[in-house]
Amino acid sequence: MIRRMIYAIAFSFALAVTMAASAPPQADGSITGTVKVTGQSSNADVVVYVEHAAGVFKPAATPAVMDQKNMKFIPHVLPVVVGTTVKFTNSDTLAHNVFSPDHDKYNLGTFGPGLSKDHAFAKCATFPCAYVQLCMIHPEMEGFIVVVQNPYVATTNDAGQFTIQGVPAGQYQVAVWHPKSKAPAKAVTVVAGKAATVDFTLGK
Amino acid sequence: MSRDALGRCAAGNRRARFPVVSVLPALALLAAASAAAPPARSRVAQPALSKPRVITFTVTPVSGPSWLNHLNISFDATSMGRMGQNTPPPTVRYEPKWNQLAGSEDLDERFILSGSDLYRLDCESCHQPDGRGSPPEIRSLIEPIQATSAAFLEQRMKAAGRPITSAMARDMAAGGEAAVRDRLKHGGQKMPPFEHLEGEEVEALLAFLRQLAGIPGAAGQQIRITEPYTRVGEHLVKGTCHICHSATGPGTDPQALLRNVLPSLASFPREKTIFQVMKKVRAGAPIEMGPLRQLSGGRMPVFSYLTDEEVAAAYLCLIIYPPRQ
Repeated sequence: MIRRMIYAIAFSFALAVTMAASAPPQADGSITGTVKVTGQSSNADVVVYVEHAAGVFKPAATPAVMDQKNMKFIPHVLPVVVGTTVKFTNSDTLAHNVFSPDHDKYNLGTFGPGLSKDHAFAKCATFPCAYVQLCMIHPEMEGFIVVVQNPYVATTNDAGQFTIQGVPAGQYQVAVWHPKSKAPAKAVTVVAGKAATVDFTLGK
Repeated sequence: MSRDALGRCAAGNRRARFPVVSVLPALALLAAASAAAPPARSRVAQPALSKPRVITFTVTPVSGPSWLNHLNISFDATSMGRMGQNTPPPTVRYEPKWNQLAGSEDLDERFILSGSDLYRLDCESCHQPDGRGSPPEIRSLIEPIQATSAAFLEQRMKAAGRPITSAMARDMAAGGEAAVRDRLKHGGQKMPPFEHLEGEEVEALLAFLRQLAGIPGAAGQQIRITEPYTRVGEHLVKGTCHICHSATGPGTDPQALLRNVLPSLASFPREKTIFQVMKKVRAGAPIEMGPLRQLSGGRMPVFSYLTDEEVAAAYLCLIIYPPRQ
């Protein structure tokens, strides 16, 4: 027991040292908090994002990936910066179809196991742009791509916790997106080297 | 589509090539079996139905290990091939004309099948009468079939409050239909490929699947085809029996049955009469099982949704096209 505790302490220390060493030198802070979704069994899959940040943000060089496995879209909710290409992979043993009836509607066709299709989310009139991902062969499947303006975004875990890393110091409106629930945006001040805390409670 | 020599034989155009000696007693039994059938079986002329289409095909022998052996799945650990149960009788019944059959040239004009009959012979033992299968092992075919109808997709999305354009629905339906056809031809992880289905058979089957999936207007677009008994037998042998029974191998051994070594298809004409096979398949006649040779219902499902004629056709198919390794 004692030995295990010593290991745990040593490990935490090592982790802290590593994190401190790799922390970026610029004046960034983070936004962290907990989200509660009333009336839902899970607090997961809430997108927490900075509504608007100054500057033009380049999409990730490599495509974001949304997989289809065991008849599910994984991750269930995928936030991407506008302009990002999403690779839809198929890790199931049967064919899937990926389409979305939202905004500029698209149909990536039906493709079999091991294959993938790319789609670029090039534009969004008013952020965020949520696209529901459906498979016409399996109507029970549902996922979401949420297109946002900047990379300061995170998705909650089952406990509703989230952390947005590397946010430049400044004042922001932080908003949430969920397939079924809502909450108003909140003002957050990010101080360099510190974690700003903001919590949300989502309702109908 | 060209026919091979065996195919022409089966069509009765070159009767000299028939294995006449072994077939004729079986045909006589087939006649007897049908004579004993209830009178309700006579085929009633239905003017509303389309004229049956004559199709081209090639009958080939069943070959290789059973699909379960191929997948290395134990008979006790699967739902595949086990959906034989009480289901409504087939829509079109076959009434053989025995005096013609004895010396007829038109052996290929025997059975009139609709897509629902092909479904019974090729699909039902796994996908159940309603097409919903036994998830998650055997998936429902209803949703993939619904995805082949543009009108259905458009309606569904509209009802869900997320309307799509007709062009998009057509595009998706075309992809859905291609996927279904590919699935039928090449199979899937657990589904066997149905390579023996050809042309109009596929069309007739898809027409029925659309009806089964509740696609509006599908009921009025059913296709009927005519096929010889050899082809009907081939459907049943390859689409149902071969799921669990290997083409060749040991016969009925009471001890082996306990160990899940199922008798081979090749052993049936050798060891069992056509009546024994019919009674077993359609009514679940008891068999000897275990070291004491006790009579047991066994584990084989009862395929009451098949007809005597269809089982007899499968039996004859196994004689005329002996199973291969």
